[in-house]
This record gives sequence, C-alpha cells and structure tokens, in this order.
Amino acid sequence: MNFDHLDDPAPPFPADLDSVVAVARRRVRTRRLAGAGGALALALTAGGVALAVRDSDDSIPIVPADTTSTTAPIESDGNRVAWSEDGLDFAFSLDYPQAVVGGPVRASLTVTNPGDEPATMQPLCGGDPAALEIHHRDGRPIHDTYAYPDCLPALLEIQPGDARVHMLEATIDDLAGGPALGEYDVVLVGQGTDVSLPVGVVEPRASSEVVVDTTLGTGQVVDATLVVHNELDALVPFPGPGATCPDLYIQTQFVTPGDEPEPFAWPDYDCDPKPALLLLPGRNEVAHGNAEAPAVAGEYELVADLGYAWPDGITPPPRLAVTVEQSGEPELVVEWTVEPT
Amino acid sequence: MREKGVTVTSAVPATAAEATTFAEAFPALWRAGYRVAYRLLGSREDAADCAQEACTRACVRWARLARGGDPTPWVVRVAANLAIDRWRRGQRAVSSVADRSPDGSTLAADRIDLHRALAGLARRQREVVMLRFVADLTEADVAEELGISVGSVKQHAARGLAALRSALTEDAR
Repeated sequence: MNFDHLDDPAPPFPADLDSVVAVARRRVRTRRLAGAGGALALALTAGGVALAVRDSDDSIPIVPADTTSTTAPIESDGNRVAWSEDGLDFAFSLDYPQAVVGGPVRASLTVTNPGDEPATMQPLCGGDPAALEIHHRDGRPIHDTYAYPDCLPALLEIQPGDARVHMLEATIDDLAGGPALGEYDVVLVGQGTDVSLPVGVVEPRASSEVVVDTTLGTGQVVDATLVVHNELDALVPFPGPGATCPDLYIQTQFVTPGDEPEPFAWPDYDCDPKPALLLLPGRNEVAHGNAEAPAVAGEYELVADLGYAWPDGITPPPRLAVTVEQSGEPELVVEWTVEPT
Repeated sequence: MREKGVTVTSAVPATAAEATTFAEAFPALWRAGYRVAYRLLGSREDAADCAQEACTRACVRWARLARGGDPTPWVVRVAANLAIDRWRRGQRAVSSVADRSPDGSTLAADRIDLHRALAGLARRQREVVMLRFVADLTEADVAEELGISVGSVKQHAARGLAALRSALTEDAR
C-alpha cells in the first residue's frame, strides 16, 4: 500500500532556516532574575551554575556557547525535581524510583501559581512525540507516551493559588533482545529544556504466601488468601483475567508432609492472562480460595496453586504447615433441676 | 547547581558546529516533515506549518537528536503527530490548490478515509503503519524510532496494514 497519490505535486521550498532557529532559541527556558536594561538568566553547565546575560528586549537569550540555559533554582531530592518559571512553580516527580520490564513508570507534573496574578504556561502537547520519554543513558528514547491524547489549549491559564496536577505514564516495553535492565532517564519533555529523573529498570522480585489459619478443625472450610510481597519500590504487573480467563482464584490441597499434591484441576480455558493487576510495593492480596481441612486430624501442609503460570521473579507460595484438630461432636448438655418435694 | 540524579539538557544549536549541522540537515528534514504532513492534511499551508514546527522542535533538541543518529524519523514522526492533532482539532485550513484540482474531492475523501482507518488501529500499529507506509520510512528506521525490533515492526506492519486495508475497503463501499 502506498500513498504517493496524496503527495503535493509541487512542494514549496523549505521555510527560512533563520526563523526556525530564532523560534527555537526563544523556547529555551530562561528566567529573568534582575537588571535594568538587561536580565540575568541562570545557566547550567557541566561544572555548575553560570550566569548568562540576555538582551534587554527580552527576546533572544544570549546563551554561552557551551552551556545549557534553563530555569533556576532547580531543587531535587532524587525522586522529584522542582523549578520556577514565568511566575509558576513546577514539580516533576516519579511515583516510584524503580520499574520492571512491561511495567509502568508513573510520574506527575504539578504546576502551581504562587503569585497574585493569573499566569499562563505552554502546554506539553501539540504534536510533540512525547511528554514523558524513557531514555537509555545514551540518550536514545526507548519509549514514550502522549500525556494528552487530546491536546490542551494553546496556553493554559492558571489562577493565583491554583495548582494543576498532570499524571503521566509510560511503559517499559519488553524490547527485543531481552529485558532491558539498567538505569534510564525518565524525561519530561518541555518546550526547550528537558528535565529528567532516574529510574532503575530491574527484574521483578516478590515472594508470596498463603494466609490461612494454621490450626483448623477437621472438615473445616476457611478462606485462603494469596498474598504477594513486592520487594521493589516499583509497580509490578501481575497476571489477571483476560477476555477468556476466569477470575483470579487459588486452589488448595492438604497433604501429609513430604507428599506431592494431586494435580490441580483447572478448567481448560483457552486463556490469555493479561497483566491486569499492578502490585504496589509491599503487601498485596491478589487472590482468594477455599481451604477445606481433611477429615482426619493430624499435621498437614497446605499447597496452593494459582492456575496461571507464575510470573518471572515472583516465587510461588511455600507449603504452609497446618495442624488439623479433631472437631468434637457437639456436646449435649442436659441440665437437671431437682426441686425439693 | 546540579543535583545528583537530575539532568537538564538543552539543545538549541549553541555551537557553530551544531548549528552548521542543523543548518545542513534542515532542508531535508523540512521536506520530510512537509511530505508526511501534506499527505495527511492536503493543505500546503498547514503542512508547511507542521514541517516548520517539527524542525523547530528538532532544533531545540538538536544536540540529543544528532547524537542518536539520523533525526529524520523523529522529525517525520513529530510532523505526522502535529498533522493528526491539527486534523483532530478541525483546524485544517481550506484545501490546497492541489486538492481543488478536478480530482480534489477524491483526494480529500481518501484523506478522510485514511484518518478514520488510522484512528481504528491499536496505538503501536498506528505508529508503525504511519511511519512505515504513510511516511515511507524503512523498517529499520521505524524500529529505531520506536525503540522496537525490526521483527516487531514487521509484525505490527502486517497486522496494521491488514486492518487498514479492511477499514479502507469498508469505507470505500
């Protein structure tokens, strides 16, 4: 399939290069600090902060040749970076400093107007390929996402005291050639100055356990809960029901210590589990099931199965030692009252 | 003040070498951006705007783009996204001279069908189809630009193209 017939039969000459460069220069963020007849802009250099003077007509910043002009001050606690520009305060932060392949990277951009007058900001959209990009440390983006599927107005007006929070999300795709582990930059693409925060892409690492009463009566049926402990400071996808998959649940068996369980009888679904759940850092209850204690009292081990293949890096629950006690027959209590005759 | 873990990069061609590089690349980048935008919009004015904006953004990021190899796929992608945004916002200007030619109505209808068909594709399929077939990039360039393997490009292209053909055929009925 080709679309040659949609080509312009007589395309015009390219636009004027100078005008393109001039517009690009104006977009480099600068911040006026002071000065009558001139303004100061802070510029970041490889060695630290440098001052740059820009024209009094406030149009084209004079940026030292080997420096990067940006707003200042920029403050960071490693997971958050904040700066001010044009009367607005910006804060860019990651929800979690780690991510796994196939998992999301979530960030937020908070824009606050601390002043007394309405202020406007340039939107991070309008066809820009990304508002949030994830880069290899060599600078090549591996993925990006649109922050705004439908573009915001040309200028966003923010009233005094107002704050706007924009949620951004990108996914670490499973790249060909294997999982792309390592350090990446999550870049908030702005109008000229890109601000980035580091994210570590790591293997999923989580343990699991079945939570159930460890002392049961014979024949007793209780709820068993599958708990996954996400050991990362990241959101980790976990399989969940897809279009043809059953709801997530667990099956359990009691076996005498050392014995193998009977094969679990899972329905023969033509099933494609989706990463429907996102494990938060720490404890996550992901599924439930019934556990029916054996009819004979004794020491047992509870074995649980999930039905789906366990995701890489998440260990299945170990066997759980359970004591099954003989359930007593209900006692018949007969009260006799002897009254004096 | 450069905090640990925070990088701030700029890309306006600040040095003469960079500026020269961008200047040298500019005509080809502009033409590539214009071509894809025109295919999508059918308006010279709008296509030129998209191409100029894409080149401006490339200029802003030039240091990074130049490090990453050929910036053409990036510019094409930006120009295509700009064109799609413009189409969605309904701000398309009056059709160009070309579209006012005797067969202009057919071309305009083709573009409407194309946008409708593209909108029906999954995101990744749409990106691949857009870059591979509408922008005529090579599979390798599409893979590089999207950060996926050539095999994935082929897979998305095949499925996307089938869906696109199906949608265009339905539109034609």
